[in-house]
Amino acid sequence: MSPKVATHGRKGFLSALFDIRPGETERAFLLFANLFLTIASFYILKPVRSSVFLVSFGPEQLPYVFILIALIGGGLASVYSNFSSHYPLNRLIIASSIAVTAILVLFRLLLRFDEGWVSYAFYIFISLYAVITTSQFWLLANNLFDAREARRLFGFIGAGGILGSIAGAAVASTLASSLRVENLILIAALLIGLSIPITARAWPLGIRLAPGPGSAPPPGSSMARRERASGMREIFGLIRRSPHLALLIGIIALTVVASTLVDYMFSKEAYDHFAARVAREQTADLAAAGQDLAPEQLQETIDRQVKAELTRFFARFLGLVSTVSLVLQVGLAGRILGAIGVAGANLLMPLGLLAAASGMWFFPGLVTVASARLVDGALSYSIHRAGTELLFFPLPSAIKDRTKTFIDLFADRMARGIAGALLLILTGIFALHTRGLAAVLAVIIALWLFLLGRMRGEYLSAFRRAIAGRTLDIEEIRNMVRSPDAIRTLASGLAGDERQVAYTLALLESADSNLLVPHLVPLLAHPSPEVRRLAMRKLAASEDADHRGQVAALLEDPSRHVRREAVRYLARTAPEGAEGYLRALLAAADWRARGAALEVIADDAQEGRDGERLQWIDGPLLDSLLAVGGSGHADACAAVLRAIAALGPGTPHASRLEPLLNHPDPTVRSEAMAAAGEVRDPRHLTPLLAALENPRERPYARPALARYGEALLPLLGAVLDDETADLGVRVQIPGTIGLMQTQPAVDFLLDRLRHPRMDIRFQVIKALGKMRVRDRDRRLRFDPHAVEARLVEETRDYFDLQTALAVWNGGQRGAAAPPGALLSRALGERIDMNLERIFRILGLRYPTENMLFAYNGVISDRRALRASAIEFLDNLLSPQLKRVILPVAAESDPRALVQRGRELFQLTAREREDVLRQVITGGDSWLAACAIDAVQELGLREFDAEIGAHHMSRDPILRETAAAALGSGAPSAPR
Amino acid sequence: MLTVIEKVKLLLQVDILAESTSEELAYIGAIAGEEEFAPRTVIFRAGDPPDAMFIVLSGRVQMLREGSGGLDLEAGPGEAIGAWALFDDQPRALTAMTLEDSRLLRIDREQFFDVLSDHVGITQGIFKALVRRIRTLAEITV
Repeated sequence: MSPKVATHGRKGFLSALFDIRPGETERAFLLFANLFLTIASFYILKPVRSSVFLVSFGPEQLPYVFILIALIGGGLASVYSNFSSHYPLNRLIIASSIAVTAILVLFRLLLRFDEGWVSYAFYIFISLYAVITTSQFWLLANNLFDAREARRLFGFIGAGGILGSIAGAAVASTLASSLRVENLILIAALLIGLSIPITARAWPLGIRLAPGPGSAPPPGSSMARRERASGMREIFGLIRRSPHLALLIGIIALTVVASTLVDYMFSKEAYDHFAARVAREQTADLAAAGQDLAPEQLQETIDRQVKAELTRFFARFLGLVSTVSLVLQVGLAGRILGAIGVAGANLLMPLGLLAAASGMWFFPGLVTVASARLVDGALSYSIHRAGTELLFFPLPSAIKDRTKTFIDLFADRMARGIAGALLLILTGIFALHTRGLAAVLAVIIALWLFLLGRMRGEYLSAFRRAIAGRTLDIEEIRNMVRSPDAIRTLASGLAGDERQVAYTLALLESADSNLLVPHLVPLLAHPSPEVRRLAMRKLAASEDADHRGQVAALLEDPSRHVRREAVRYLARTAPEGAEGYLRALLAAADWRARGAALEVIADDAQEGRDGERLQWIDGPLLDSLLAVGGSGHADACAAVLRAIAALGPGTPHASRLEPLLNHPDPTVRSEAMAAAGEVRDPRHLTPLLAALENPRERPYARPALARYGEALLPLLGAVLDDETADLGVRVQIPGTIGLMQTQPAVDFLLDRLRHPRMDIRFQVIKALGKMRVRDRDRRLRFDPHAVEARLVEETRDYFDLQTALAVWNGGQRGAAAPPGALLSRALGERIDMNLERIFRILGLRYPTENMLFAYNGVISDRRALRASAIEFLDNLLSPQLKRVILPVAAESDPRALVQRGRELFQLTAREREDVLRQVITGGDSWLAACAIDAVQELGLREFDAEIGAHHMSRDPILRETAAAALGSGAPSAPR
Repeated sequence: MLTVIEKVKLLLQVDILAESTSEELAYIGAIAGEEEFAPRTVIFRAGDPPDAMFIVLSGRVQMLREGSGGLDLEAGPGEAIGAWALFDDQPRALTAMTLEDSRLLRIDREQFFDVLSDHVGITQGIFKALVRRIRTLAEITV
């Protein structure tokens, strides 16, 4: 196998494993590599930071550094926010990375001089840079991927971080002995340096336009301070009013305090253990060798050795924590959450720490403290984090977002500062060691457990309130309705009004239907047909067979949808089997039962189940339903149409469809159009094409026509190009073809990009754009040559219009409403439309969403947003396109635009008369009418011949305007 | 008799239609009809169902509020009367009466909505105009 093939095979495997789709590979792998390097550098620096500090100052100084980190972190967040509002994210990340690399090299140099403050500064710097670098990374990731891509790919990218943590810890533990510990800083600096070109390469691949300074006040400004102050007031108000929120923040704060205490004890025990061991070993070695060192020299040797031992120990321990955390997160978190629920998941960490605290009390030492640190480290980023996230669920999104920001910016730091102060008191004043601190930890955990106990009741109440207020996110909640506990909680929402019940049933969509049966049965008698349908559908999907009597009564339900779901249940549970039951029902005397059975058979067949049952459908059965009169007529027709749709092309019953396409009832017509799309009989084309003109029927006619497929392209093309056909129908053709979502449809539309009619051309561009957005797997090919050729043509038209407008306006400055003002406005409007077409076509060549951002930037009044858009295009476009497109985005001065038009397309600035003549004889009817009106207003007679040519125009407005200008006074005609 | 182009020039002056393109306004111009009124003729009364908007082509129209007895507003050439009635199901708040021989352009509500359903760009323009108006009001309030 050639290397090329092997590489391709590996890419295919990874793409399949992580669902990386074409066009995403480079971005995904670049970010994977970036996160790997970022986290690996941190996992090298973290043990170095701790060992250097502990050897310089001992663990006693750790509480001070915790407090300093809390205080400096606040100031740094503010300074960083200021920077981030003034500079684009890519420059900020690259500048930060260069600065961090340089500072790390500087620290390496300063650490030679053994100045105490350097170790302090180094500890604080490493603790804070990690927070900023990680948050910058995820900002970059959000910039490179949209929400849909993020959901699929962030797992893969996050794996880069986990591998980075394991690799970084391995590097540190391996090299701690052979290199001087401080030299590991240079390796970390190198890794961060390597991430810089990756960021620079990744940024243009998915760059979005950052909102300009006008969109939000700069964080450092007085307005921002006022906003932050009012935001803080608001969040404190929310906490006062919401017991759920207060408990949540209390729990998170206690988690941070407990974690900081464990971190301190772990550092202290590790230091004490290794300092004692190294001193013992060194002394023994010297004694054995008969050497005698000066005390300073001996201390220096011991310090260096302790640093190396500590670094290796911390690094190995971090590697172990990462691995356990990974196993828990990937393999067990979901199952544990499903089995023990939210409450159980939140109990795991405090109970684990309580057990470890007991161990520390009875057996104080490194092993028991390390076990506490392992519980803390491994659970914090896996099960405990998932459990805490679930506690946020009942909160409305807006409050949830603000609370999380509050916790990140304020509560977390404050809790760490408090923990530092508490440690100072406990170790400084009360001189507590591991046993005493373990007792304090147990008290904190007891308080934590008390709050969790209170939270349980409050969580259920908050859930009930959220259901009543319909503030839960359905997509989010669907992932958690697996345990009976969660289902019971949610089911409490089934007792409300129609909207609440329907909402709750939507929340329970992914829940096990069998667990819901007791809650569903009472809903079968609900006054709302929609609730009855949803409940019946869920019941039909369960394994329940005990409620046949109640369900059988629903065969006479006024809603055909309820009847259909009832038949599903009854067929599944029928003693004679589904086949016998359905067959008997088709012969029932009651048309409602026949219709419902017919719909179930048709729906099943369309979904690929039991298609052979379609053979039971015959003409007399269909005719018996079509003959139903009165209020049930539309429902009976709908059942027949479902059946005909399921029978598909070539059905002998297609003729029954024809009269229904012109049925007076619009619901029957819409069902008939849907069925026509399935049957694809040429006889139905005329009514379907005619329906395109009607805005109410268009949504049904278009997909029905698209279902005919590529075979219909020649006919649709003929209608599109037919100048005598109804324009209302013609403009709907491109969108209809677009729904086919096939390569021949793309090629057909690309060919029509040159259509002479601007309105049709616009519809073609729109249809192609929608096809590209729908084409998530990038299966369709939008010929870049055809797209770029059209782009150049559109850009030429743009400059031509700009030149015409500049010439036209040049002769009439100063007047408020000069003659020909309408022509001036119409030219401006055409330029705007032309610009929109240019960006829509760019969306066929480059990521569509990004081009929408760029277009909004280019047309924005905000200078900063416009500048971002221009920079973005400058980064993205090919040199050939850049040459013609950038001036469109960048120039706004009319003279400069005329000059550019001359340079790029050899367009010449003409006289006003030339502009009038060109517009009147051009193909744009509306512009021609406006130009003729301008001629009339100006009293010019030299254009009579050109105007006369429009006297018989097919466009009524142009005809009318020409007649008025020539003085014949033709009557106006509606357009 | 006005041509469609001439009607478009008038429609461009109507606040709520100002964000639509001139070509889109031609579709409205095509359904707009001219009506002539003698002096002191009531065009519509307060409490009437809102069935149309008007643009004064010539003459003057007085707008009276029921009960207040006084002159509230006066509309002259190029000015619109009852534009918001196109979007509001509430009965008319004012009575409109000509002060002299007047010629008005009438846009029927039902026909207007038919045009909107066929030309979504006009609806977008109306939304833009509404947003601009709300933003202006918000800026004044703040």
